[in-house]
Amino acid sequence: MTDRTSEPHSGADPAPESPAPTADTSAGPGPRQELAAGAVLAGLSLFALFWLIPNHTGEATSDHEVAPGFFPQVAAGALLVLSLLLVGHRLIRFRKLRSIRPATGGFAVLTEIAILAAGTLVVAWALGAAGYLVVAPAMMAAGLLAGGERRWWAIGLVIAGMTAATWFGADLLFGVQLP
Amino acid sequence: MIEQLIAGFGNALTVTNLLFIAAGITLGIVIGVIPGLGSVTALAVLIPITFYMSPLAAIAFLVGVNKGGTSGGAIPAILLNSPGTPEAAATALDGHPMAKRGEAQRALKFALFSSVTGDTISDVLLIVLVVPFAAIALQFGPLEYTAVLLFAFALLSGISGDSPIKGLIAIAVGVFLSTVGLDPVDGSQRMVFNEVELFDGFPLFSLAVGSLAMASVLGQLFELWRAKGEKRLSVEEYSRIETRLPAREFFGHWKTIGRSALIGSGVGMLPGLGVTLAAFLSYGAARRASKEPQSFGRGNPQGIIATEAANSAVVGANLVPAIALGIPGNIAAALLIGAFIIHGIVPGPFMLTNHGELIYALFASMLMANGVHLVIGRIGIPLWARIAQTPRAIILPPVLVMCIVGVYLPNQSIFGVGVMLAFACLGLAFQRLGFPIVCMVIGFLLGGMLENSLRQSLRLHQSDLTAFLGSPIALVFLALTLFVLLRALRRA
Repeated sequence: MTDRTSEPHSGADPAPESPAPTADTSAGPGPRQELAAGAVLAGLSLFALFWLIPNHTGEATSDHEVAPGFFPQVAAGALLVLSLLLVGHRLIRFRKLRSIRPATGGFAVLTEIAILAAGTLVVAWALGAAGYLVVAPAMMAAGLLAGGERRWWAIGLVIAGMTAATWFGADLLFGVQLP
Repeated sequence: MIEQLIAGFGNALTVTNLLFIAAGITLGIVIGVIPGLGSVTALAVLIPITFYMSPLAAIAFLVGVNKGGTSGGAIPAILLNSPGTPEAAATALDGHPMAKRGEAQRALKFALFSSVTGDTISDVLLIVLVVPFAAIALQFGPLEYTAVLLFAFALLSGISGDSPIKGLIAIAVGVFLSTVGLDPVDGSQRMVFNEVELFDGFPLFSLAVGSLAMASVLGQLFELWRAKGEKRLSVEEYSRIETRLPAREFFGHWKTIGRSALIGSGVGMLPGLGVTLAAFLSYGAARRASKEPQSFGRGNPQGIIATEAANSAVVGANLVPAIALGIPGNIAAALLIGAFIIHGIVPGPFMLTNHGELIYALFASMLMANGVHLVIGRIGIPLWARIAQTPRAIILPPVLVMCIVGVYLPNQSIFGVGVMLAFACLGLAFQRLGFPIVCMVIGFLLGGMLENSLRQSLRLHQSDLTAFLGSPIALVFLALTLFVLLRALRRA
């Protein structure tokens, strides 16, 4: 199975006139980005193995029972080994891979993730503090503008229609008041 | 089996059920025609809404979404040369040239009829094969289950074509995340930081909607932002020069239909191989078998038939391992397994024994859905063409809001929404770095099952891992796992 979510634009013949992105983050990672990802994952699995699991899982209740931390340790251990394998593989074949897949938009990926992380924190906070009727229109307005939509009537129509439909739909169909 | 199926039709043949199936298929097609979205996004967003439905209506609705979403991708592929789904890329090879020469409606009909026929063949295979599969699965103990799950993970790692290590890493992340929550044996806390809402672990649908649907939508919005909007595609040459497609002409391609449906069903039954592979394998097989292979790629209807029959055949077949073993064949099946669990149905070999009535009603619903799909798909052809032209900038932001509402509705929990947002970040990072997020979700879904079977095995055999050598079935699956992994690593 192919992860279709990771191939949003796959097509037999992409439109040649579409503007070329300056840093195409969807083109796939270069070996440098993969090395960094492998190193970060190895670091996280070490953190899990040596701090998170020992300090935040209980002890075995009897001698015959497997400790609750056993399986998380197996998973984190497997993650460590695989991350190191990825780092090793990319280091050994760095030159060859760089010639096939030159690094594209490493900084842009970080920027996207940073924007998204900040955005999610704001949305999560605002949903509790200000409520759905503030968050949903703001999110949709940001999405519409980011997507390149500039027709004010279309923006207004989508925001008003969707907010009203979900707000009243949740209440009338499911009896749920959105926050 | 026949009596149970007739009883299943008796339970499923209600107006409500038919309406839910029709709604599912329509929504599936509508989302499937939008390039970049598809049945997985549709399923992820719509599953939480099914909390309020009866189990049969909910599963029938979701099966409808999956069927509609899988076939919907062919519409923009044919009309706009912009496949709505990756697997529909093969449909565009012959569908778009047909549209350009004025046979757009014929091409759409070929796609729809092939999709429905492939789907029906695969559903029949599902009904016939699921009982023998489940009977075999009943012989499995914890040792065998552990080995089968490891084999499924090895197959799944192949999703990340260029790097199976990345697939395995994603699976390990998913399995690790599945261990957060209370210990399944003694109930002690594991990495929950005294947060009561984490005692049950990360909510499956917050994780799935965030990492699959929301991450995909956000990724596309970032791309539109960077590209400063998108060029509006137009339905070129959607003329009516030739629109007729007599049934006799369609069924004249019965060899291609049958071959493609069998390829799709075979691929669908094995975890991790997926719809795209089925579509391209079938396209290649049709081309090799053709007396005019040079006509493929220039508007040969057999190219459309091969692709659409195969990718739709995966939909039914991937429920064979899902129902018989509780192991999903792909992400759509994984999401359906999640839906089963929500409605109190535990997938696996006992599913047929404990919920036989419901399962046969589901099979009947699947067969009925094919008829509904044919009617809705046929009537809606002009409408789908219009939807396919709607700019993504208009479609995507409302999907974001749907994700929030969908996750909030079942438990009315802001925590669930927060988890979804966090996994949207993780999903986008994985997507950009080439880690298959699907592997992470399936790893998360099957992690608990792997832990239970491994711990049971260790308890039964006093922590002696050599016990695996005493079970021929486990030994075979472990050898297959090793073979698949070594082969994949050698190719990397």
